[in-house]
Amino acid sequence: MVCCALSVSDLTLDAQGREVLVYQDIDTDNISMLDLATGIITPLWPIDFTHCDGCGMHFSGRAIRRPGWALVSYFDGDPASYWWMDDQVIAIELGRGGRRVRLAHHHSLVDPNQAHDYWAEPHASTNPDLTRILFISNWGRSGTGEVEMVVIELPPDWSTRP
Amino acid sequence: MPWPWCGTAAGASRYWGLMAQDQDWNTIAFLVYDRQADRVIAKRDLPRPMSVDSVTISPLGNYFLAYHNDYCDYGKLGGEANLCGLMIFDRNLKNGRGLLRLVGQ
Repeated sequence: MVCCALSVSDLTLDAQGREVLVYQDIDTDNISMLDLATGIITPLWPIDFTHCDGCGMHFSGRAIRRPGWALVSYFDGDPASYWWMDDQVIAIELGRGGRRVRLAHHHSLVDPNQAHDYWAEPHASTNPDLTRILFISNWGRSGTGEVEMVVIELPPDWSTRP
Repeated sequence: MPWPWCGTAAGASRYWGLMAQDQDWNTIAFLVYDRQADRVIAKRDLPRPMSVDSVTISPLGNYFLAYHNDYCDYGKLGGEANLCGLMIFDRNLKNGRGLLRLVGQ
């Protein structure tokens, strides 16, 4: 059977320098990677919707000088965290069973019934080296439209540290 | 008058993927612009005005991607004769094939 269906996504390079799409697969509920040259889909991580309260995610694949990594920012309207992706900005390694590096707890509360909260979705975005990452957060102030920008700074060798 | 509406550049910003829309915001053509050569190097007229959310170009500039709001039938992908879902083309806007059957928001 031919699948799948895409929600959010971004383009990037895998560790072998192949052009890939990283996306939320809404047919299989996985974060998946699609090789643009071959069309081959690799599921990376399942998404747990057990505690989903308006949850969603965004991807950044701008780290083209550190191929093989992408950013995920996952958000919802519940201040509690139930699983590893909840309320986090995370770097994921692009391969089945790849590493997951937690970079920040963004503290942004995103209630889908509050129009202002669209602007509180933490669209984390990285520089090409994946050493500077920007995201926004309302820091728990749902419905206020009050958001701040935060920068994460990483040492250049972060991905080779044990 | 159609005009380029939406698109992004490849990593080195040489190639830009763009789409042209009519006065009703329907997409009527895809374009690839080469910034280094300062000219449009590929143009593909669509068979009819279509609803396309956005277009982009791959990080190395090899592929053009179009996010069609029209989804493909379950179990099927798009193709040259049926543009739907997430479509990919070579940089010359030929060899269209489907990657995913549905693009959500």
